Amino acid sequence: MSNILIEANNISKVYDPDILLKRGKNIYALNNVNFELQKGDFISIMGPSGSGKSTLLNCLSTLDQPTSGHIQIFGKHLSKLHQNDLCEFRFQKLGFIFQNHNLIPYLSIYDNIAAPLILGHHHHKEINIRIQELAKMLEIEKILDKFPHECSGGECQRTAIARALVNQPEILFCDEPTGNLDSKNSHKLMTFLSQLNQKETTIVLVTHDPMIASYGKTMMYLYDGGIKTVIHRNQASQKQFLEQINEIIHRDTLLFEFDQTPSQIQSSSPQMEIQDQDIAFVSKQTVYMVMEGIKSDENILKNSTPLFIQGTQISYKNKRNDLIQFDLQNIQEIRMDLSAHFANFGLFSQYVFHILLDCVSPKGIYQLKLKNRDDFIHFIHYFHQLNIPIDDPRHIEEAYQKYPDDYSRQKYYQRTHKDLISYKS
Amino acid sequence: MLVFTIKIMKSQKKNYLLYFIMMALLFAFEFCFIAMFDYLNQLLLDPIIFMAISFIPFMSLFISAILGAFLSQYFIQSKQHEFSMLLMFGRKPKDLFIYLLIQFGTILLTAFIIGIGLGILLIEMINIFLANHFTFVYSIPYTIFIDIFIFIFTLIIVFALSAKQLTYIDCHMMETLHQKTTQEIAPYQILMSRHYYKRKIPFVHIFISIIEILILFYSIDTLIHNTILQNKLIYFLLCFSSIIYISNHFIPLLFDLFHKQITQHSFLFHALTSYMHLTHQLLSITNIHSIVLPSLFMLLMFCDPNNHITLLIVPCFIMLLILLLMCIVMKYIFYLQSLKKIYATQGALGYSIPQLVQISLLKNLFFFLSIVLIPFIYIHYLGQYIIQNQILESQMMYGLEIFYVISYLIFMASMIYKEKQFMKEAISHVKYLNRSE
Repeated sequence: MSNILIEANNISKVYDPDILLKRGKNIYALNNVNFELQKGDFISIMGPSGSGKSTLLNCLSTLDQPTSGHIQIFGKHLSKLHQNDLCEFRFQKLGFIFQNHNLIPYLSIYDNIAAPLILGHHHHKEINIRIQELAKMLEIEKILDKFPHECSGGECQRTAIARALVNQPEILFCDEPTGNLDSKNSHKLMTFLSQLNQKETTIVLVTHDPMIASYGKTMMYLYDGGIKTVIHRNQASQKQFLEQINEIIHRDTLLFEFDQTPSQIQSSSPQMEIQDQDIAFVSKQTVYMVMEGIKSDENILKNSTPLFIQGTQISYKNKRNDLIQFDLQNIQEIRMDLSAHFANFGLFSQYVFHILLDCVSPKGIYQLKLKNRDDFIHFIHYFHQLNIPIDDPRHIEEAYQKYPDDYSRQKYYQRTHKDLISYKS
Repeated sequence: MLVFTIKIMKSQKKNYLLYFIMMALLFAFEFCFIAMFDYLNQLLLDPIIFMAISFIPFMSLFISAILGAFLSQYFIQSKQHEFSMLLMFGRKPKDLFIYLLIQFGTILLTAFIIGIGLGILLIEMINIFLANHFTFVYSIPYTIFIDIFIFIFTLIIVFALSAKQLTYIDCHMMETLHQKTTQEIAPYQILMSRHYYKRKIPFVHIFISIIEILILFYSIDTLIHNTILQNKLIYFLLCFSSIIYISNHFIPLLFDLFHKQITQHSFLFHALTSYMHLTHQLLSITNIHSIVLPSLFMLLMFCDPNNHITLLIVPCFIMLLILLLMCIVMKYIFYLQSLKKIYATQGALGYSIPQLVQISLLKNLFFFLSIVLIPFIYIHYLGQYIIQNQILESQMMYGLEIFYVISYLIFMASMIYKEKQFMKEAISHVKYLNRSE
């Protein structure tokens, strides 16, 4: 059974789609992010202000909808769930800790903690026992009869933690949970979260403090709405992990300031151990072909995963930022398929299409997601030259025809369509 | 500063327009109350009857002045953030005073002039409506003269409130700048500890509550059937004290007493707590509401049947009801703003929109029962007495009761609709949860 709790594929978030369409500027809060959360993970999301940390957390926690892309949570597609189902889902599985604690001002501390249990129609004795347990653990038993405005920031934050845990959620989302706490209370809270994580509670935490991030098992660094670096703690001590985080933040920040290309930065991220072979070969984002002797477009490269082709050697980054390499001579066959996802741009909502390319090898399936028209045509020609069997790409055209309106609206794919016809002839 | 003021007024024209309309109506009603007083003065009635009858427009005028102060206070409170921004940018309190002088001075003066015109029109309308009974005769210069005093009084109150607000902002600049000036008083007093081992039954409060309920029914009954005027006054005061006690303390006490059982029912739990929040927010205005409207009819009990009663009570009741509703609406608009974050939090905790709608319905039902229905029962009982003694025609009395119920039903329906809209907005926009909001 898969341990994947949340899987986000190419999620993008645009807060004002009109600006994007009118000006064509990069105003993505999230841009083609791929993310995977496994049971027992403790991921710290870091990044400078405006990098999309909270947006990513909100999208993953079902509080917000991505503009495009898919999120699968506990095997369910979020886009297919009704808002009421989402509420039910949040109640059953998720817990939230916000920076400003978001306690209900007119409920006492006791009632605030009890609010999720009350929704679940638990017996009052059970509610009381659970609250007393948590209150004792978080040292808030003396303030249960008070109101939020009568408590300090730390007490309110611990109340918010108790509220988040009272339902025993499977995943805990924390947005800057130590933002209102002093260093001593922050340490206590993070130690507590680490202990929770050891008891199999999965935690996703947003912070800008490397010290707080070092409590996690994985650190993900975001910049301009994209995941730039992912590092795992593995067997390293917290101090070593903190040094690693500091080094990456310092380097990444400096490099970005000097407008370095993301690919150069990504290549310097530490190697990781591949945990799941089934998804290990899936490309991080839509790939952009970089071939010797062919000039590549820097702008497209910035928002795509580069697919380096040197002779028959192919290399690219997977979702976990591992470098994947394979030889085209080992490929037994090529399968092609079309993926279409609905991009919510308000009035301009439409389907966006990608071509999926599965390169089947004895090691596994290397799955590449193509967006660029030239890449698609180049690939077909290239595989033909190498005599690799390809399934008939004309079924892609048939797949497009399922979306006649959206297909005809996009000149870009009309060109692809023409190319397909020319291939056929 | 003038350019800045004009820009602010343009950007918030909806709020300013609402305040302007309300103040213009208030001045118009005040004009009518003064005109009524002048009319009674000209009739040369017996001093005791004159005192009893003239108390109706006099009380209405007094209440409308208080409500005017409330309206201005609510409006000024909503501008806390704007004032704190100006202070942060380096403006001196003196500059802010000029800023206020320009804003409120202009609005209130224009509203006053329009209010006088509206007032004259309203008196004409009352004359047309009650044409079969008599004609309203009053002195326009005298009424305007008195009205100017009321206007100056309102202006002084508005500036005093503004000064108080500026002092508060100056002392709590960071909180107001970050819009963190949340409620500082508990919405209700916790009488029984949530720790099971610490729970003690509040016998004293239970005893007082039982006594208050008994007093309420007994005093209403005696008020109607007792013929001694002095006794009536005592029962009248007792009745009010019990109404205020019940609407402010009885439900919190029930919530505490049955807390264990209530936690088993999520809708009831949230409906009761949000009801207590709502009544706490509207505390002053709901208390005034519970007292003022029945008081008008109470005054009728001291009068002999005559034509002047209809002339006074019908427009006074309608105008006061409109004023009270305006104040409740204004305060309610600000209360609604604070709900967005609460709805967003409840959404994040797993409460769906249909569940929140049910909670809102139940909460508004409690509001209707305690704040609207109790004074109505009181008015109805007094009405029965008034009809029996032929002080007022039964059609007129029932007409006023129906007007009361319909006005509040419309208000309650719009409350439910607005809250539903806010729920949808809060749950679908994550910004209401985020730290930046």
